[in-house]
This record gives sequence, structure tokens and C-alpha cells, in this order.
Amino acid sequence: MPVPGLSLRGVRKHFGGVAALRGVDFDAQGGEVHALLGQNGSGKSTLVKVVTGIHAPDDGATMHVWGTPVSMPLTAAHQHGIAVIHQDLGLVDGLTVAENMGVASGYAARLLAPFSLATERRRSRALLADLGADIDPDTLVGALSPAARATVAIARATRVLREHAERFVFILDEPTAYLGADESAQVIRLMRAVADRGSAVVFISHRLQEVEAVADRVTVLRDGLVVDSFGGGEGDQHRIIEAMLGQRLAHAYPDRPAVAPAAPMLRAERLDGERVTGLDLALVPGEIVGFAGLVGMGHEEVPGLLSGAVPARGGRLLLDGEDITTAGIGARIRRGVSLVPGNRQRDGVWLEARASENLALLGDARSTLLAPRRTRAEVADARTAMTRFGVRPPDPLARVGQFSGGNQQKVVLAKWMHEDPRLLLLDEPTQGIDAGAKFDVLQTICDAAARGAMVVVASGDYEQLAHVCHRVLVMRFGRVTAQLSGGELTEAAIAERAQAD
Amino acid sequence: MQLVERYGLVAVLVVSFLAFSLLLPQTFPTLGNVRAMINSQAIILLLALALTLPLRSGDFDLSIAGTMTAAAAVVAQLTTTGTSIPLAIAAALLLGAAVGLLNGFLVVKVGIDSFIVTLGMMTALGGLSYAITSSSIVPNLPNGVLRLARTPLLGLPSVVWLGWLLVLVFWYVYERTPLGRYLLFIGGSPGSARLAGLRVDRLKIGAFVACSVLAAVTGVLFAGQVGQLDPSVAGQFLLQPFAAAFLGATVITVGRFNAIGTVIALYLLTIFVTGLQLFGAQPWVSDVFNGVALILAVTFARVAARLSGRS
Repeated sequence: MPVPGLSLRGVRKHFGGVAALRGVDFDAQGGEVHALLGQNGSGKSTLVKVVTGIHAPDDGATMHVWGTPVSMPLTAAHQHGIAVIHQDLGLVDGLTVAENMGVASGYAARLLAPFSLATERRRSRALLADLGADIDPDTLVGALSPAARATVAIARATRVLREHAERFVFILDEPTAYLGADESAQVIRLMRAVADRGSAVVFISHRLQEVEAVADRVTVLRDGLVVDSFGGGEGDQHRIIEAMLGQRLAHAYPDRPAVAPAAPMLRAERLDGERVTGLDLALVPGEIVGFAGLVGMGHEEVPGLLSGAVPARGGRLLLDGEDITTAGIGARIRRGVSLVPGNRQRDGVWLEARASENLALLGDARSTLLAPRRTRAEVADARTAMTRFGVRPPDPLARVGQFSGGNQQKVVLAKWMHEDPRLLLLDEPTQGIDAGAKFDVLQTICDAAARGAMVVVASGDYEQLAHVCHRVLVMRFGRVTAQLSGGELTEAAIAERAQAD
Repeated sequence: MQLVERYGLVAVLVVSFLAFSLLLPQTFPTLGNVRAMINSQAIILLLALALTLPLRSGDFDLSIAGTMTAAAAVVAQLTTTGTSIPLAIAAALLLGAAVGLLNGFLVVKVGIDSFIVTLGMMTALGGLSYAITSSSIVPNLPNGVLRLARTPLLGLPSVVWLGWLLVLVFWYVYERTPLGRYLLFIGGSPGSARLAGLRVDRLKIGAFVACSVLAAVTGVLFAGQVGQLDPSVAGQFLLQPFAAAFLGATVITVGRFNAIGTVIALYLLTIFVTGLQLFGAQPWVSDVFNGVALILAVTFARVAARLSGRS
């Protein structure tokens, strides 16, 4: 047995009286891609923060890096060759690749000592080439694709680590959460490449397919304990879900409701948006339609375009036969259009405000500016809505930021679905939430359809679309290039059409 | 814990008042001194309330003191050269509305940072005040203008009562109407405000216009309170409204600009400055104190937010 790159024994961590970690043992081997899984709140983030020294563990924990014992908490993880790459990567969009890589290493020089741009470029190019990437060091980071940005982030971390250690441990926190299928595949190849060069790679993800695809080893946390750990190929998604939830889910997806034949209530005719071109669409009540595609192909714009958040540049949009092409967001909300935005922390809710205040914002939009508000009724309404949509705990006075990611998303759904929308538009509704919450969210969407809502879901999660939607439209370069339904509607078929030229 | 957070500043207000009363029994806790403290802050209170409008919707307005001075200059110049008082006031308010519209347009539609826009506006309006008054002090404003600010009621002049009335109005609007919440969400989470169907641009511009018009109203009252107009006063009214508004945001509804907190913070600052001056401190102490108080207020707010975020 080779010496593991990272080895933890008996890690416990209490916050006040609450146990976040209850005795975790964890090994990550060099050359191995190790998936660390668990629902939100299972202890993954705490474990990562213990490794990097942000949290001090309770007494009795030990940590070895490449066989060398280290004292916890670490003061500078990078000096031990450990780097954490967060979802946002921490790159500066307005600087070039070489500048981003130089800034992190302090140019390996003193503040006022000159550095050579040519050397910077050469070093950056070499580091990127090590990872099998050919990226021009003079490109602005903002102009790079998401996968290329991830490559830059890892190359940058490598540069810093090299000054302190020979072998590295990389921890990637949900590196693919906001990426489409092909970008995710590139990031997965990147992780493989890093591991092949001898590093230990630990990654956190909620996307179980990609875990299956890449992980050499899977460790599942639940309630602060390791509940399962197995080599890649020894288990599948069902084993993971079972371990994460602590029970066997009969179905990972809710049953989609049947659609009664009816006349379409929503019609888009040759509708143009910023990227969407010539969209034709007819929706009947109770129908769930998915929009899929690679990142930037326009599918992610469809919910915004139908809600009025993205202005239409051409064509027509009719709801109940009424032309709403130029209607504003507020006017459409009053007609029963609800948009659940993709970036919930930016657009869905205000994390600093109470749940009740967030939920009442829409109700307010129907009254005049200076009409008196009834706080008590608002709080009671919010409690009802939160209970109905399974927010835990259903405390209307808590700030939304205090909830876990899955529960925040349920607050967003409660905000937009409490009044039973007629047209429900969702952008990545299950992004960054755990398997249990994901099922609840999808169930909520299916329930809305069963009550007669027309539902549009844009997502890069093809598996989910294949299970929940009645039909899926695949977009390439702003145009719908394929429509899948019935027996044709499978995850593989969506992926194939999304890639096809 | 929440009680401490919400009402801590009120306790400081009471304690500091009692402390100064004990230390300076002859001069501090007298009716004359209390009246003087309240009167001296009447104009600042109006400006601070106006300022909370754009602050709440997420923008700065550094130009309020300039707007106030320019409006006062308009009233002073027009009324002393024969224009009727109502017409002069209308002209001053029109100036305020124009300033607010211009600020709002540049910030919201053109997309320039509000700090830059209103900093430029402040300086420009300062210069305009000199132009209006031909760079000299305008003395002897007519009685009609003086009465607006000085008419006494229960021993206090009307400008004080107007400020207190506005505190109640602002409290109601901020805490009990959709408008108050809209401004809050626009400032805190513009993305979710827009997607909730709020007319974000209009409300933001509206906040600028309301703020500037109120600053112009304050200018009219200021002219009446002083009885003459010195076009160089703008600078003296720049900082205190900010100190009061930011310190006020650390109390009552913590982390949010609010009316009651603003008035409490303002009086707290006044008690300290007055107390120190009665101890014989030099006049410069008040500037140092207010400047430091503004920085401390924002620091407190940061720390409080960080602590509550962790719990």
C-alpha cells in the first residue's frame, strides 16, 4: 500500500453543541481521483475546512500529508502542498492568464523588485502545457471558457505549491456545478490529468454521473460520519444515493404527471432574444418542456426570454391569445408567469433579508406603493408557504442566508409557486443542491404541472430532463435543432443531439 | 442578544445624556441646552432623512448639502430682489427636482458610480451657489421666509417639528409600505428585485429625486432659520447626515437605513459633541468626533453583520 497523499484519522468537530464531524477517517492516494459526497450539511465543507486549517478539529484528530504527520490546524495549507480550488476559482476576469498566475505567487519576488513579463508568460505557458492545455498567457481570463478557467486555476495553484512541496493534494469544491456537459467533461479530463501526474485529487460534486465516470474511489458522508467508501466500479449511483440518504430511494425522480389534451395557452412565434433565434413553441396546460444544450447555445436564455427578463428582439409571444411580447416582467407576473432564476443567491432571493420579506416581495408587487403592509399576515403566509414547500425549518423570521442551499432553493420555489403560477419557468432548478432536496424540488415542479401549470425547464442536467419532462428541445447556436419525446427521450439522446452538428 | 443589538444605541444615548448631566450639572441638563442641541440639529436631521432614500436603494448622494445651499441661495436671492415667496420656493424646489433627475439619470441610465456623480454635483452646486448670490452673503431675508422655519410651537421652532414629523412619515414608509421594502431590496439584491417585477430604474431615480427635493425644502427652511445666506456653508453640512444615517443603520432595524435609528444616532452624536464643548473642547473637536463616528459606525455595522452571519 503506497503512502496516501492525505490521511485523516478520528476527525471530530463540534460547533457549540452541534456535532458537524463525528470521527471521520479519510485517505486520498496519489494518482487517485477521490469523490467526496454527501448531502448539504453532511460535513463535507467542514471536513475540507479542517484539512485547510480554517477550522481546528476537536482533540484527538491526526493528519498525515504524504506520510508526514502535521499539526492541526494547519496555518498555511499550501506550504504542505495542499490547495483548495473553490467553485468560483478566485480568478480575476479583467487580468490576463499570466497576470492571474503571477499575482497568486507574489511574482516570487519582493514588492518593488522588477519581474520579467516574458518570463511570466513562459512560466505560465509551461505550467498550462503540463496540464495538457494550450492557452495563450495573454488572454484575458474573462474571455476563457469555464473549463479553461479551471485549468488556469489549477495551474496557478501548482505554481504556488511547487515552491513548498514536491507532491500535491488538490481539493476541488464542486468544480462542475455551473457547467454544461462538454465543459464538465473537460474539467473531468483535467482532474484525471492532474492525478496521472501523481497528485491526490479530492473533488466534491452533486453530479453522480460524473462521479461514476471519473472517481477511482468514492467516500460518502452522512451526519458527520463516513457511511460508505468504495473503489470506482464497485458501486453505482444507487449505492451512493442510498448511502447519502440512508435509505433506498425507490425512484430518484418523481413520476411526471399525465397531460390532458388541450389547446395551447402559450405560443411563441419566431421569437428572438439575445442568443435565442426564431423560437417556435406551443405549450398546453400541464406540460413540462425541457430546454437543453451546451453552455452558451441559448437554452439557458429561454426562461428569461419568456419571463420578460431578457427583452424579445423579434417575433411574438402570446399568452391566452394575448400578445405579451413587449410586456414587462411585472405585467407578466400579474398574468401568472413565474421565473425561478438560475442564480438563486443573486436573483432568486436576498440572503440578508428574512424569508418572510423575500416571500412577500411578490405579493407587494400587486399592491400600490404606499398601501399599508400587514406584517403579521405576511409572516403567517410565509410560514404556510414554507411548510407547503418543505423548507426546513419553516421559520419565516430567519434570514434566507441561514438556510442550507437546498432549503434556500425551496424558499425561492415557495416565493414563485405559492400563488400557483400558470406559466412556470425554471433555470437550473436543482443546481448545487443535494439529492434529497433535488427530489423534493422536482416533485414540486411535477405537482405544479399536475395542477395545470405550463412548465419550462432549462438545464444542463440531461438525466433530470429525460426523467421529468414530457418533451425536450435541444438547442444549438440559438436554434432548436431537435425535439425529443416519448421513447426517444433519453439522457443519451439529449447529449448526442446537443453535441451533434 | 437581539435586544442589545437593536436598542444598544438607545441605551448609549440615555447613558451618555445622564453621564454628561452628572458631570456638568450646571450647564448640560438645562432646558436651554437641550433646546439648543435640538435646534442646532434640525437641518441636519432633514438632510439625514433625505439621504436615507438613496442609501436604502443602494446609492450615495454626496450632493445633498450642495442642493440645500443652492436652493437656499435661490430663495435668498429671489426674495430679496422682489420675487414673491411662493414663486421663489417653487424655483428652489424645481432646482432640487432637476438635480435629483440629473443624478438619477447619470447613475441609473448611464451607469456612472453614484459616488462620482454626486461628488461632482456637490462641487458644481457649491459653485452655482456663489454664482446665484454673486459670491456674497445675502442678508435680511423677508419675514415670510423666516416664519417658515421659526414659527414657535411648544417652545420649539417649526423646523424642528417638521423634522420630527418627517421621521414619522419615513418610519411609516420604510417599515409599513411596499415602497420601503422595494427600496430595501433594490439596494440589497437588485437582481431579485428586478425579477420580482419591480421597476428598479424608476424607483432608484425616484429616490434620487425625492432626496434632492427634500434637500431643497431643507434649503428653504435653512434660509429661514438663519435669516441670511452665506453661499459657502455647504461643506459644513456634508458629513453629519452621513454619520447619522450610517450610525442609525446599526440600531432598531439593524443593517438597514431607517428613520428612527437615524434620529437616535444624530442626537447621540450631538450629545457627545455638545458635552465635550461644554467641557471646554475646541470647536474642531466636533469635526474630528463626527468624522471618527462615521468610520466607527460603518465598522460596527460590518462587525455586527459578520457576527450575525456566523451564528
